[in-house]
Amino acid sequence: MKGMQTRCAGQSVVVSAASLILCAVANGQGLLPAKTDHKETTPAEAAPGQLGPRVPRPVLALPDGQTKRLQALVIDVQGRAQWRPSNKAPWKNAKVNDLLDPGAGIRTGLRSSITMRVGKNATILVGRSTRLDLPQILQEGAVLRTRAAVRRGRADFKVDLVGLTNDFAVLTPTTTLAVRGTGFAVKWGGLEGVQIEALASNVIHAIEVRYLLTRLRYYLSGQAVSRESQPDPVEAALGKTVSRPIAGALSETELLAELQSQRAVDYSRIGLESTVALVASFEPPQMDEPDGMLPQGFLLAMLICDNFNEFFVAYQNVLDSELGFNSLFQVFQFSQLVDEIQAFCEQLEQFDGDPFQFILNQVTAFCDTYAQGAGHDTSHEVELCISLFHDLLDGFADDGL
Amino acid sequence: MRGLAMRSSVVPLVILLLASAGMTGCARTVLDSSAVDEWSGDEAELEYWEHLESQRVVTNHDALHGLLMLADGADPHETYEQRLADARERAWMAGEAAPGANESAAIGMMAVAACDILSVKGGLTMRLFGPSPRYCTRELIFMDILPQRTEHQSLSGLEFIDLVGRIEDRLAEESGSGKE
Repeated sequence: MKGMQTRCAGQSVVVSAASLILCAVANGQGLLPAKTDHKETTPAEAAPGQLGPRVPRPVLALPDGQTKRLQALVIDVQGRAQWRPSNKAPWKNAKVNDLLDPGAGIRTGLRSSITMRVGKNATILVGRSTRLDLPQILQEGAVLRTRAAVRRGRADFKVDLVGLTNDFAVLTPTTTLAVRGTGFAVKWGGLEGVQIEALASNVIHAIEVRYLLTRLRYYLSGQAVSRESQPDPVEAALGKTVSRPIAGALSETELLAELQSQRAVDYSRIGLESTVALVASFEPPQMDEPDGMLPQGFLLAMLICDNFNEFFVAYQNVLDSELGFNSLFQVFQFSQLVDEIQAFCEQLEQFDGDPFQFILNQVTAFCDTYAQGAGHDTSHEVELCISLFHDLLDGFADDGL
Repeated sequence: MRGLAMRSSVVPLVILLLASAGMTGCARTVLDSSAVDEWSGDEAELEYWEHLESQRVVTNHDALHGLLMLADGADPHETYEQRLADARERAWMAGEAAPGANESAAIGMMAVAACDILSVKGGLTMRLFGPSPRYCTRELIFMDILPQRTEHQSLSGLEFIDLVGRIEDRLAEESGSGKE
């Protein structure tokens, strides 16, 4: 190993094996052979025939004399944050995945922040009430050159060692600070000028990981389903088979109270009085009451309970096809509905009152929470959910009675 | 005789100078307008800070708008009178005197508001007599939120933004959501 030529932190050196390891550990990076082909690689790129991603590789240098303008990518926005491409351009609200060119200005309000991946080697968290400019983000050969100007407020800078030379400078109205490959926070204010503080590294790491998780790709096979609102097919399958586990420290009594409160229906809020009245006055056709011995509500409840499995499988399918189960919450609510009505059916004989009205109340409450889970055009979703139940019951009554 | 005549002409001049210095020394700076006159809604928050940044002093109207936004996350008021009434209700201002909207805000008033926002209990005097401009200013200096100032001084726009930011940082630290 002795005499092997390597690159460490952008410098070509001839070193021993021990110093090679030391160099790699100290820089938190792998060893990079001196010979470079100037082809940029992405860290998660997999070689043909290789399973899984390769170990991340450092960024490669450009040929000598070649310059490349880099950009900043917004990876997180909290509260009010805006940016503009140049001093004379109008401000626009920042959102995740916005790309900022060199020369961009950023500003944030109270209780607000914006986080950006800047160029190939830095992450900047711009804190509350801050004005920050990014006059320069570029790569010149083996040098990553970045200038960030903090006009006021606070910004955290994390500069990674990626195998090239970092020329990262933070300008404030009174000082210029250079970062080689570490991190710190800079505060600049009218009262005491510049202040240097420790980097909020855990906050930045959490934001980076969260952003990367939103960029995950899912590979589907067989019956797997992935939707925009529920991208993970495993979660969807889990919800359809074993239902969502109940996490948290709620006791059974508290949990029941919580579920009851979730089912409280405010008809006036969602304009459902007419729908409820319609379903309540439902009379299945061709249904003859046998000599007045059993009330109509009891017969309808019996119809559902006698065909319990078929009925609720059909209801689940028709809901899934018409409205879709877009969240685990909705699946959980449906399984709760099925459980409650099943328990009710087992004690139908002892029920004192109108059993169909009880079932209808459960379904209406379910539809209300289900539509809230869908998150859009609630009243329409609730009406459709109830009318699907209505139509299904109608069909079962036609077939069964 | 000549010396006496000279003395008699200097004495009135000195008195005039002292009088003029005394009269202007107690007056507060008054601006033509406040940033909040133009940028008052919640949506205009960033413009408000941007314009405040270049103001040589922060006015009472601007200070109340900024402090109310800090306290509640939003300032629903539209006029200076409404903001003043709200500030009196929160005991940020004592007495019935109404300072001018475009008059420079005293650090003491802003310090009382900060004590209220941060729930500063203070020392013996504050506990006995309640928050006052003098003791709240001293508390903020002790807490390293304000540098050495007195309660009658004013702040520039940039200094006020810094003060609000420092109070927000302290709030975040106390609620446990601060940076590491």
